Amino acid sequence: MITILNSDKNEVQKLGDLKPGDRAEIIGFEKAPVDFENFLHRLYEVGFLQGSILEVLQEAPYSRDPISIRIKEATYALRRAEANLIQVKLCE
Amino acid sequence: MNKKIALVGTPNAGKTAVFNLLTNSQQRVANYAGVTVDSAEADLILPNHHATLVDLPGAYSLHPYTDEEKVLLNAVKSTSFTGMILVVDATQPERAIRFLIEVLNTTTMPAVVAFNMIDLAESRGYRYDLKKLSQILGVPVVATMAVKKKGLVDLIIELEKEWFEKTRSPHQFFPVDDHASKKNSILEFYKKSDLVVKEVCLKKGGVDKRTERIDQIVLHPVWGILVLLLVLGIAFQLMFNLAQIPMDWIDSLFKMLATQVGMLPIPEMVKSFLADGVLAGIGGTIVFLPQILILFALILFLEDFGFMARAVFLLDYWMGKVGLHGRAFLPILSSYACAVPGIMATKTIENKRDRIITTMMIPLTTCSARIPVYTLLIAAFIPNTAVFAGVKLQGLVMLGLYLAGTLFALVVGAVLKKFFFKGPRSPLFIELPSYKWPSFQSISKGLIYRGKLFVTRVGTIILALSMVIWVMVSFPNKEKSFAYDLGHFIEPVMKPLGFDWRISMAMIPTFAAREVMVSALSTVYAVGDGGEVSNTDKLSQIIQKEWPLATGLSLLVWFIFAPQCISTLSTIRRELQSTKWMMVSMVYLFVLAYFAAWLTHSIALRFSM
Repeated sequence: MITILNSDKNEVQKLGDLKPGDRAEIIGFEKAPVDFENFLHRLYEVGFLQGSILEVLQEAPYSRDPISIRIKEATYALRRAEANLIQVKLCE
Repeated sequence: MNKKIALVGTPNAGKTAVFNLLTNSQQRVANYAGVTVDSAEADLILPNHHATLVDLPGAYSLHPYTDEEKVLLNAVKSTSFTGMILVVDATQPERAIRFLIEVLNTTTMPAVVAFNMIDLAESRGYRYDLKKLSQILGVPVVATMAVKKKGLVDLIIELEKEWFEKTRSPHQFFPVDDHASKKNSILEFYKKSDLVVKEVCLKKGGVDKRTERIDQIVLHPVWGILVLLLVLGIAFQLMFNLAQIPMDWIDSLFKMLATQVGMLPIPEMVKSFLADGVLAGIGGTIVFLPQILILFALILFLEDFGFMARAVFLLDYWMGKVGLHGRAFLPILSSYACAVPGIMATKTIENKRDRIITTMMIPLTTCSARIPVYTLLIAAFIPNTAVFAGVKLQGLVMLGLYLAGTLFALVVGAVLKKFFFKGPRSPLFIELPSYKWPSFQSISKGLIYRGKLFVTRVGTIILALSMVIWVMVSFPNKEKSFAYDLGHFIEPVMKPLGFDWRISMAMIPTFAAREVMVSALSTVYAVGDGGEVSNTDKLSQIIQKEWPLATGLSLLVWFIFAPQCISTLSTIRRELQSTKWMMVSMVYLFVLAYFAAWLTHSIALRFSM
């Protein structure tokens, strides 16, 4: 069996850059502007935490933004720009 | 003493269904210190005890993100309640248990947990040991499926047994240090609650396939847009066509009642007060009810079903183009019926600036109170010629007025965003809940509650004002009343717009509700001609004869912007808790209205010369 090594798999990406169908693990967070602290806190509370696994389900038609993300059995909509505060690594 | 029990839960956990299950049908508007959000309360149906259950807004945590969520934190910390019922979603064990632990560690208030939507969770494969959960948390835990009335008996038994006599001793297993305000402590906290999940969740379930399938359609580039347009189409169709039927009934009912009053053996003055003051005031409120209830029914259905969050998802990007947050969709849609429920719905917008912008825009959307005025003026001044293929000019003008209102609302939003509320867009966070078939009972109870709220909030103002206005047009005498004097007093100001003292006078009562303009004009012209002009067609003929075209057009344009009714202004003040913004909204709309009407009048004069 041949395994194709994909270096992308281990690269740190921003959540906002993922496509529908991508599964990823959260590995860290960007420094948030002051205005976004409450927002980021809310994300932590619903389970956007280091080590959590998430899945991008869909993107809004035409604009391709916001995207819907499943994490801890629930689905949330986030704008790509704001999702970029979250650093992820794609899962195999 | 009457005990107050708080109903607390996460959003979309079926909290309202539990509320309906546990209470009688007599819902009231909750009223206690610290509540700025409208909450319903009702008596608990328990065999041996008496208490009031207060339905608090759902929240994800005790760290409030919106004004609505602040209520929960205040309630948990307050002494207003002797106990609480916690409702969580069994299909989301991690979030549910984290929420339970957070709340139970913050207060020593006794509690009973309704582990709701258990059927749904079990059908997806989840299995729980709720006895274990109850042991760990130190409070009774009952599995419920509230929409199917399942678990009601167990819940009542537990409530009777517990009966919130003494405070709980907070258990020390999961101490939360200052509300887990830092990320790391949330992480630690999650780790601990995950341990509990591992103990009580014997088997994890799969994802909700049905929701995924529906989303493939609702969020589809082609089908999704069609569904959204269809929903909007149905909303407007129901609001304007279906609602018209009961509105006509109500209108004729109140006309009949007024005739009846006219035949009573009582002094003329009392008759007039009853017919033109009291009945006109009550009728003026009730006539809006069909439209508002129909719109609310649709909104409640779409919200319970899970569609509203999807509409925000679909529209957020495009609404951002005009400086709006996706969550402004629902308030703006509501305000096509009436600005009051629209402004009340802005509390789900988390960012204060976004909320203010949306609130300032709402009075410009064409509410239903403007329709009778538009209809009268269009019938009088716009010829009903066919423009093309059966489309009549009158219809086009009506559509144009709607579009003008919407367009100016967007311009106001963009200007506010650009010059007064600079800065980046506030972030979007919204849950896309699983689709659920709404229960009829839940919708009808919600509808009754919102209808009551509307009648008390708007009705009392309209009634009071219509009585004041009756005094103004009746004293000292009908020919030279206070309103007559006031009309003459403001005439010089209104002259440049083409409005004489009669129009100025008829405008005064529009502060109660805009559509009163029609009956006010009837009164004014009846007074002037010494005859009775009650028929709108007759009135339309009279003003067509009496007013120049420029005046008619100018008045049409005036009504796109102003005047604001008092109900709207008082709602703005209450919801934003700011007299300043109420004044801003009143002044800016008057200035806009004055300028636009003046411009219309001047241009129309130039062309008709």
